[in-house]
Amino acid sequence: MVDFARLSALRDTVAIVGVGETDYPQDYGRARRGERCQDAYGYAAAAFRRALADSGLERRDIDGLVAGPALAGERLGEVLGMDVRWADQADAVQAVLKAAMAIHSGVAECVALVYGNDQRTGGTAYGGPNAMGGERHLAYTYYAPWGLTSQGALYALLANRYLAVTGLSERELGGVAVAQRAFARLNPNAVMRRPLDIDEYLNGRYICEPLRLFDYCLVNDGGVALIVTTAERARRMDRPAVLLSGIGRSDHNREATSLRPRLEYFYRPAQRQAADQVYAMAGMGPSEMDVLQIYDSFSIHVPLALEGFGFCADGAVGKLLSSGDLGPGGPLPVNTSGGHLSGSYMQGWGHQVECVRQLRAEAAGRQVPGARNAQYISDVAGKVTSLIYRRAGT
Amino acid sequence: MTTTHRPAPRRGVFDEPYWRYAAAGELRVQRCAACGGLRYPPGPSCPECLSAEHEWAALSGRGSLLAWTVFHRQYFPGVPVPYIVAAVRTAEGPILIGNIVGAAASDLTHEMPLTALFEDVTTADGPLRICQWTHPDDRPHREEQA
Ligand SMILES: [Zn+2]
Repeated sequence: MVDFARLSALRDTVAIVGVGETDYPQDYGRARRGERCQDAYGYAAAAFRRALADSGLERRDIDGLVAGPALAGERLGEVLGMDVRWADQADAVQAVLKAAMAIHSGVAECVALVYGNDQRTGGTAYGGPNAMGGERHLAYTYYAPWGLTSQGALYALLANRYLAVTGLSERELGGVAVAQRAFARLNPNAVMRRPLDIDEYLNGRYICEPLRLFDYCLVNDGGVALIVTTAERARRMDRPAVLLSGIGRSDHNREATSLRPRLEYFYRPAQRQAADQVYAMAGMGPSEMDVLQIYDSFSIHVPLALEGFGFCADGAVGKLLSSGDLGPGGPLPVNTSGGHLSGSYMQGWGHQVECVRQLRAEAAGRQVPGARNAQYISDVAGKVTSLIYRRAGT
Repeated sequence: MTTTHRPAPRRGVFDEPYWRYAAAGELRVQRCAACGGLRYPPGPSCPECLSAEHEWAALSGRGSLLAWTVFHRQYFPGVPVPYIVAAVRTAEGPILIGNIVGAAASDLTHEMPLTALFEDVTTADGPLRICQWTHPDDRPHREEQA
């Protein structure tokens, strides 16, 4: 059973004090022109320089380093010229969790989380004979004789069943891509800034039916870095501190390759479990969230998260998606930077940065007025995680 | 489905019997000798009771359509699009993946009954017999392919 008293000892004890991202649209343009002048470490270093400057800390203050999944920790430390007393490797949400636990335990005081990826110029394949991730997700490669490949196709199978069971229409699902594009148009650092309406969405070609081009994330190069430290230290710094208030996690892997939890339960039991924990630890509920960032390799992640975390009743999500409530000016703003679909595909790392920018009221034209609490929700193949951040002093 | 050259299966140590039975036109999965639970894909032990003892049990070849997708993007050079990939809930419980043959996507409905049949295909590693699914009404004139 979850020991909430123990878990809550971690609440609000660590803070994000610096964030940095690379120039996504410019790098995307260079990649489209066939120019290749950066690698994953170059993007990582560029983002780190910005995060460090943003925090106001010196490089020598950093005593912990977490490298993103596409980076080798040794080479990253070498490139950044950093010797540290604690290091690890992690995906976006695990990076934040590991840093929080390291700081809370005292093995590090100030941790840099650094991500870099040259997936576009480097030609990373997300399906087909050389699909990445097959060593971690058997279902990516096991059914190749039948032509089944790519996480997108697995989510298309889910969407096929989910639409039938819930009555969600393709037009309603299109509300996700349309709302996120509207936010991307307000973000100068988003890759896709052309207008997108529901008709253009519906005219988009299918990749794996019922998912269309606009339901799929971008594939672009870039880097993201965050600086995490103790809440006490953060309070002595100039910037508004963003505190980590809640952590929820649930890994449901039984029958993962057979796709049963995906197709029969839509991973809902795992989402409910993670939701219970994150809200109990933070002492808050869905109605107190001002901004949501949802991991969106595919649009279908958004309705799954909204239902699974209690933002709407089961079966009511279609109306919510098509209402415009998730977009700019709406009461439930989701993926305010444009997300993976229209902003930048940094595998959840950019979502953490956007939480920080919103809570610091630095999101300019896409700012959610008065945002005090922000929640991140990620569900990749039944590995569900959620974080709640809040602005210190509120 | 007209296919020139399919990807070869990934063959771990526990997969060999599955493909050997398939080559003989038999659809079999592992059945736990301790608790009777069926499991697929093949693996070292029973996820229910952790027993490693098992036998290869024949399935009836009856199932129903759980979900499907139509591939419009071509990922494998030897597999032309469009094609249908389906998740089939077998009568015995395990979920299997296959292509739907003898039906168009517009003919498909959730929970429709399906019947297994075997199709001979070629892969980079040589000929392969794979389990596919079709509507029962389609079976009489398809069976000769098996
Ligand atoms: Zn057993």
